[in-house]
Amino acid sequence: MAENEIDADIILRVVSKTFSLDIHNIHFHKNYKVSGISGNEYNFSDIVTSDTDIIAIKIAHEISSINDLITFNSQCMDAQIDKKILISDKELNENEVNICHAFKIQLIDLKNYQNGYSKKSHFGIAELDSKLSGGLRPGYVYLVSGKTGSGKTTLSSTFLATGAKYGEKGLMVLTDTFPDLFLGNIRTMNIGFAKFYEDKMIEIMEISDQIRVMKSDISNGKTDFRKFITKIVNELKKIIIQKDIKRVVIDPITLLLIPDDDYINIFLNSLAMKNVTTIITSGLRNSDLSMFGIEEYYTTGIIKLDYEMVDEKLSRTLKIVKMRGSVFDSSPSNFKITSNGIIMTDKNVIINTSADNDDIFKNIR
Amino acid sequence: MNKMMHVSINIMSILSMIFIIVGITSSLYSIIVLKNGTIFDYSFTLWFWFATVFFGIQSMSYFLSFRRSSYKYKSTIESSYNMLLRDKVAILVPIYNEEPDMVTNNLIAIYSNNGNIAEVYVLDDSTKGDSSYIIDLCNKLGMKYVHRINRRGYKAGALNDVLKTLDVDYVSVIDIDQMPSPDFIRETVSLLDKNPDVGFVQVPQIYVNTDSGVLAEIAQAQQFIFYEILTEGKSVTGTLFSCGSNVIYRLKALKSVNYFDESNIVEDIATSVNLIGNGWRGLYYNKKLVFGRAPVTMEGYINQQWRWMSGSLALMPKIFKKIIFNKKYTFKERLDWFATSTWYTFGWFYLIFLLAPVMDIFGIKVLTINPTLYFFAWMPYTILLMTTFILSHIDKGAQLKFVFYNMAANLLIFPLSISVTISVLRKKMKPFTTARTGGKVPWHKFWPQFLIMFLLILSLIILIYKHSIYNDITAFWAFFQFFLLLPIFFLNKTPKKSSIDENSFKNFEG
Repeated sequence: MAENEIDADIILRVVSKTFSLDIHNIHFHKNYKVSGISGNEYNFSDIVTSDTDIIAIKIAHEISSINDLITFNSQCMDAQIDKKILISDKELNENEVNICHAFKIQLIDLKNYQNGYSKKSHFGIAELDSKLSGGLRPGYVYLVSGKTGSGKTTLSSTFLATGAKYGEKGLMVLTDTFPDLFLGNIRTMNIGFAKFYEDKMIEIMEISDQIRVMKSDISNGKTDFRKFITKIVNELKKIIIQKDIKRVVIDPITLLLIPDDDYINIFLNSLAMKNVTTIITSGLRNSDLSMFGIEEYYTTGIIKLDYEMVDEKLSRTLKIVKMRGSVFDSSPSNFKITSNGIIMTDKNVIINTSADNDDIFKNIR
Repeated sequence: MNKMMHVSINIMSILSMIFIIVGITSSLYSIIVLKNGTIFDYSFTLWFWFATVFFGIQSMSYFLSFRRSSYKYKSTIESSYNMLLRDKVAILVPIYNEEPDMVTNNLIAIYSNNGNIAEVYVLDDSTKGDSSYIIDLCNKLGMKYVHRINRRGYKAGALNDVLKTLDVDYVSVIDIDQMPSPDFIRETVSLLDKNPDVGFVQVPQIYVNTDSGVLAEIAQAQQFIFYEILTEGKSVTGTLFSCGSNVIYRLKALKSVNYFDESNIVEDIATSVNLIGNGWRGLYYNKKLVFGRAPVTMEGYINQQWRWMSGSLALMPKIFKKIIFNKKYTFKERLDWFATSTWYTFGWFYLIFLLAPVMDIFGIKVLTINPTLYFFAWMPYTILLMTTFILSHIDKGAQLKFVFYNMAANLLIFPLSISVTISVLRKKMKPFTTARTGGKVPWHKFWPQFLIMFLLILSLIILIYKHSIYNDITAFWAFFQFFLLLPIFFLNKTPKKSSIDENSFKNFEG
């Protein structure tokens, strides 16, 4: 995803509001091909479809001259698309504005849709990002869950490496692996993680014995769990603030938790931090999503990884189980872990809206 | 704690209170009818009687608080959590010449635990050092930085200057050595929402560095009696005062008393008196939601105690005028405030107990006490009172060493109480200092404690040598008080690093 690309979520909101369409019944497509009545086929970079309509989207930064607008309009006319939107993410000149009025292209100021909305943190895996309408919303905590060997560490390392590629510093907190062992493993994959680590774009931290001592003090009734949460969350946040970190992975979260509903609620809520996207990983024990069967209730989104043997071959699947405040595709997809990292093997992913959110944008905490 | 034990403490606390009243009145009667002493005997006996009255009232207030805390407090609190807080709360963090590392750590803690639900204002009144690192941090985290060029009204003045510009429902004050837990604001706001007559909600201060030395443990023991027993009782009676930090106020209530009282260095108690006078009450929420640091150096501890003592004592006339002499308040409210406002004069009354064995050597005795009276009245009364005091602590979950530390702490700082009382009477106040400053105190500054210890040991030897029942009893008290003063040798030490300062995460440098 390019640096200045607009999130699918925002485009869907723009279309929904401009043409009074139900946001749950419209779909966003990248590089969508439409045949014109002239017989020509046009490749539109951004298209939104509903059951009855096609809406063509043009983003202002893609326009270098008025000719681009004239071409866009003529392609739309030939493709019989009469709902056209120009989303302005830059200042438009007078001629451009006049042309839009003349061609009945709806002019939308991006700023009106960006208030309180941070750009999403993408994984750099096109199909997964597409399923997530662009990626994960910063400021929240997400759970990547799956049994051992399902690819949690690989997926979350890819997430950090992609962030680093776009200048977002990452923090990997390893709670049950030796960092050198982890680095050795991740080096076998061509995702650039080790290089970003060497360039200090990704920090690796491990936990000290202090955590075990404090956890045992809590179980012996010597200390209150809030003291523990306050201490470790504060230490983490201090590192995040001082090193200007934007993406955090805690792999796995289990060692920092106590199987208590109140504890996990407070801990996971307090991990959330403005403009920082946090992923926690968890194996499975008490539920099919986590170790304690509690973690999944207090995260904003869940990506579940799984695998099974089919005809003596490993078949891996990824499923977005929950993603509050975001449009997402909940259908399972197949993927492979290769020397180039995670490769999705399903094609033609389109964005569906999830059925479990009545008003997705009111659902944002 | 089994039910039988609980019932026993209940009965003992009632008996103790009866004994206090009987003891005070009967000894007063004895002073009046006895006619066989010298002027020294009479002066000493009267002073001793005043000490008995003083500790009697304090104990009475303590036992009443304990009973309210045990039987009534829980029903006054309903725990809940408020999710919808946007634009409702402001957090004010006063700073004055603090250590940069602590400021950075705790500002991050305050911001990260509450910054997403409340606007944080950093009120930096520092006069020394470079504050640019605080400004940078505030810019980075989106906190408001306020710096004054004058120090009008000290902490209260700094708070008031910002309060007058705010348009929120609630304002929390958090000192820079405090770390609020993530649910502090949400839980306390919910109590203010539910109780419109409550002007402020106070939560306890939990010291997290008690493993840094005996001094920190002693400070924690003193906090224990205050936050586990006295404040719960005060919350029930409506006599709770705010402690200036770990507190959230209703802005409307503060406005009604023209904001914080700038005329006293313990602006928290002064403002609470004003709030109570205006019909507001305070609610104590006994949940571990804010973590602070005990003073770890003797100088820091003395600074803290000096400020609390001098501020509270300077406030005594105001409390007497506004509450104790005001018929609008009930007897139990007035008794509670009397105990609170007079507490820090304790040094004068401990002094008479400490001097009693020495006086005895010189033949100056408490006239009201003879062996018969002692065995049948005074001794059972003392044993009952101390046992109830210890058991009430244990009932509240205190370790035994906390009870010892608590008894020792007040005895150890008796000279401070005497010296503060004199300073307040002479209207000589020291400049504002915090508990976080300073280091070890030169040993010669403890001369009053060493002198008293020497006199206690000396009288102990002489009294045993002179052997009689009366002398043996006095010798026992000499030894007991000497024993309580012993921690003086362990307090003035360089603190150990607390485990709270150990890092939970290690950076990997592969």
